[in-house]
Amino acid sequence: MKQKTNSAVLIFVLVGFAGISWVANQIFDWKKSLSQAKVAVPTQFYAGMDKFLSNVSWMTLIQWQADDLQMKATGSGDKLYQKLNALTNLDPMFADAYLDGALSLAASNPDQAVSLLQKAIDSGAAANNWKIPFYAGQIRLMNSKDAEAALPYFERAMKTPDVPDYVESTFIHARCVSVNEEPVASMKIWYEYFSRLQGSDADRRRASAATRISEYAESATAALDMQIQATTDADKRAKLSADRLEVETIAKDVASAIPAAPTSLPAI
Amino acid sequence: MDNVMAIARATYWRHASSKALYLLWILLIVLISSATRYDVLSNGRSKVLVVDLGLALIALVAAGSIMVLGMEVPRELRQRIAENLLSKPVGRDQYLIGKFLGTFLFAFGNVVFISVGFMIVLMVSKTPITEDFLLPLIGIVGMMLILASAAALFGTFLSEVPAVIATFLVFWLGHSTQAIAHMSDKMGGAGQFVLRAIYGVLPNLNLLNTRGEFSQSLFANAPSVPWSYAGISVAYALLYAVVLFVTALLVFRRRDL
Repeated sequence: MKQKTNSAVLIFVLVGFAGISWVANQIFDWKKSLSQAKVAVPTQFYAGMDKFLSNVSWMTLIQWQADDLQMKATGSGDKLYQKLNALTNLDPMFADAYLDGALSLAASNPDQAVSLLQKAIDSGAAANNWKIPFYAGQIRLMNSKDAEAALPYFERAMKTPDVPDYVESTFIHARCVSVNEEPVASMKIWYEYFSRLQGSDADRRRASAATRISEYAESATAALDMQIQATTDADKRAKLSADRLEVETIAKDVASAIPAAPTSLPAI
Repeated sequence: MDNVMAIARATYWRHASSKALYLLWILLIVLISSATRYDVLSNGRSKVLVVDLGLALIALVAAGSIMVLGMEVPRELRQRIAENLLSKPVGRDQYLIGKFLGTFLFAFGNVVFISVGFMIVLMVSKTPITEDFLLPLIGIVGMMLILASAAALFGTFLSEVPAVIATFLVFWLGHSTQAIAHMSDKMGGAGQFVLRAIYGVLPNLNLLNTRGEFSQSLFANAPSVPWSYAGISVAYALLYAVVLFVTALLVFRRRDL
């Protein structure tokens, strides 16, 4: 009788473990879909204390960065990247670590800075934080001098909630840089933006865009005049004249939006 | 049932009667509240630090309290206290269930004590407290269930120190078993199936750990873990604890005393 009971219990245990295995895998897949961040980083072996340890790591990192001797030593950029990478493995949603770290790395190693911000994007930390893709775009634009590479980051930042106006105007600026600030093309880029801006709340941005268009229109007119004078080809002259007319039309269209006194607003 | 409750009560009061323990818990709450003073050192993240430290310490207190069970059963067997008890009309199952319940209640009481202190610290430091705060605590209770049954199992066939070490290893490595599942996802075919099966059988405490997600939802605008997840994960913990505890009963029944 006792042996029969033990056999029944053994069967219960075996069936129980099989059931548990199935349930655990279902919950694992569910949790994976809930927090993508943890999937993007290697598993840590800190008894579930990762989040708390990320704070400790953050405080020691601040002390390390504040130490001049450490930061001026050779290879400090690589060390900083490794420390930030380890820290963000503990807490993949640690936006301040990504942003402050990327700013510290931007001047010496823009690729590492962008790689850190890309990790933030991959782990989902940028879903509600426009600063992460914006910083990545700025670093590509200003430090790497690669406007083409900056554009996707600005586009991503623009799609993030609560994004400020200047992110879009920075994107427009980056587009102009990507065409080497060629006056006619740049003017058209700004004009497209200007035309899109509607409503009274867009007045300030329209004024800023109109000022930029007017500046580009001046350089475009001067450049086209020189080209028209230099060319002997009638077809080319006609095309250049048509371009000049278009530039004048756009300049006239935006003239009323230009503020009377020079605006103190930054261009981007 | 009376026998079980009598053993549970005796076990609970033996652990809970230590005054030094409550002094230790008060010191832990003071330690959590001291994290609010780290605003400059943490570059304005003291509130995050308070929440993360508080939840980490509650989990440690829960695990530490449960590990007592790993030591309790082998110690009583070694000192022949268990033999005296079992010579009376008390079955081995009743003895182990009583020990389990007493230790679990002791650990639960400690977690409640620290959690209340932690909530007072949060209120004083003006950190927003929502009902979501209960999500990580539910996970900690689930973790206690699994650890208690693991401690009971190890206590039935190991001596004191190895049983505690084994329970501690379950606590430590149980939070990282997802490494096996991630490895299996990179494989295909039979390898994936086998690794996933192994993963499922192990005590996956990480499934119950929503402390990071809670903190991120509070401070990083990350989506919060739904209540349904907390409910299902704790049901998983309960199921795991039952199966593991029945295994412990089976081993204890066969043990030669």
